[in-house]
Amino acid sequence: MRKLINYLLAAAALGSMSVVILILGGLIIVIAQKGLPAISWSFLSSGMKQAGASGGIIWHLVGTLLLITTAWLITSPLSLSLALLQQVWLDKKGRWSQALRLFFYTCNGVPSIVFGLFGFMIFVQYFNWGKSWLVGGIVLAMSMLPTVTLAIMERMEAIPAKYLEASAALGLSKTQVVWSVILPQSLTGLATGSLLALARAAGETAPIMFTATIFAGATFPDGIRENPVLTLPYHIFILAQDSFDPAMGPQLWGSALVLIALVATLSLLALPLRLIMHEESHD
Amino acid sequence: MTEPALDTDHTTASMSQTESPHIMSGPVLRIRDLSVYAGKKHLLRVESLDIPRHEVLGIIGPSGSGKSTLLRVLNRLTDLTGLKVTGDVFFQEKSIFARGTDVDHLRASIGMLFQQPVVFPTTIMENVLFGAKRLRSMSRGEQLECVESALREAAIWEEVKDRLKRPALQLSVGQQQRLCLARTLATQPNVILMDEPTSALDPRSTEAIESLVFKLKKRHSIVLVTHQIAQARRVADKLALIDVVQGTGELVCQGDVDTVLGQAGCLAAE
Repeated sequence: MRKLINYLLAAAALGSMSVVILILGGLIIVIAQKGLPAISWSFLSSGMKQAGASGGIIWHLVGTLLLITTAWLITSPLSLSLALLQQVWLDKKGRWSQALRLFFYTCNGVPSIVFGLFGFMIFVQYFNWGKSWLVGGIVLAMSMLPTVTLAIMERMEAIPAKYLEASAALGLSKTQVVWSVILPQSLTGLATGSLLALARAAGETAPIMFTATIFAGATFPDGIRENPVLTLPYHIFILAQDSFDPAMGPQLWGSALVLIALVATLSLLALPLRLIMHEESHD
Repeated sequence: MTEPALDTDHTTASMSQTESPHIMSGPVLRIRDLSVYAGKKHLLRVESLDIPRHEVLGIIGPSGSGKSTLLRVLNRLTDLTGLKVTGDVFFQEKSIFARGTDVDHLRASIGMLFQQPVVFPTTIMENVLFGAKRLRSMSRGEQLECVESALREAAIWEEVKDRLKRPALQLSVGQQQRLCLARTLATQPNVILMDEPTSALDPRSTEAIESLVFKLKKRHSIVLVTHQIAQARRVADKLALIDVVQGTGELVCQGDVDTVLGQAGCLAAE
């Protein structure tokens, strides 16, 4: 009977894994099959022509990278500071610390379009910045902040207490312990959290569609106000609406393939860092 | 959190590096009416205990009696654990709980060696300098000098002098413990607290640490917590016995080694 239960459990696990692999693998195979014919040096290095029916996606790539780089530059110091506040300066079992953690877990579940609406109301309308790459960066940073902060908090919690006690016993101040022990040991948390959040942010359409991006007519921004960018997710969104037009097909699938490659690269970069982190915390 | 003790005579904050003749001759640490609580549980009670200057005070007692907790009170590491401390401890005749006490400076003056060696995941050299270079500014030459003198004092220089840039985690456990001692010595402490420093070591490494203790007491005052009566007899000049009385660790006996461990000593009387 016990063997039968073991077999059933293994079969259930194997079945679940097969379903997931089939769905994800099928998705990637379909996109690759349809998108690969569009991929060429000229597709990756030239701008869009004929309302997306021909040309390339260079400015969409540049715009996407600009948004996620801006978002990362805003998120990293804020996430580190918030994690340090929760882990070092607030009483970990205290109400404020628990409330902060709960706040980030809650924010992690907020739909990204809500951040987009907030950015639209505050920056686009109230500050009158119009559609701007900086607003997009800020909005994406807001959606990334909970993921990155929680990843750093978890990494900080995994730092062996013996290091903190030994450094305090040497006479190091709290700030010196932060610089010499906590920050160096938390960098893997920042890196993995950032890469995973960036991978998600790179594919977001909802928060940037009315704050940062337009379909055509933008290159590299030369200011902040009224300086939108082209982005891959929004490009795919618009082309998908015209997908009945056969000329759009290769462009649509080629763009989707490039976006998947970008997201996959960021996720794969996070993998070795997660493994290092896991090994260290189980040392 | 530690409660500041009522101490009307010690309002000055910092620990003076220069010692008056009176201070030089008296005990380096004086413990008075000390109690430690974890919530409502009374963990430890020490009515009066003096820690002699340039001698080794051995603290013995059963597991769970509060020996390690007592060590952590002496450099206020209990602040990190949320234990409540009442009573007072005087270091160089100043209360360590006085308002405005520079706790970081106190901890640099009262160094600590833990039961298990705590080596940071960096090089041997960086481990030695881990505290020292952050507590005082040092040129590159001074850093090298500091590393050599601390490693020599900890009797490990000859073993590591050719691999100072190698990871410290590659050292044996015994070497790691001596490296931790070198790191503590590099911060130039007056007192060294040793919390069962040989419990994780083989007999040879234990012997090395014990012979170091003899040398170190010429320049430092040492408090050594140990489980081994034989080690206490070999190393300590004075002993304090902490026992569990009605669920609370209590200092029940102190004095010369013979007073505590002799045939008519308090350990025999127990």
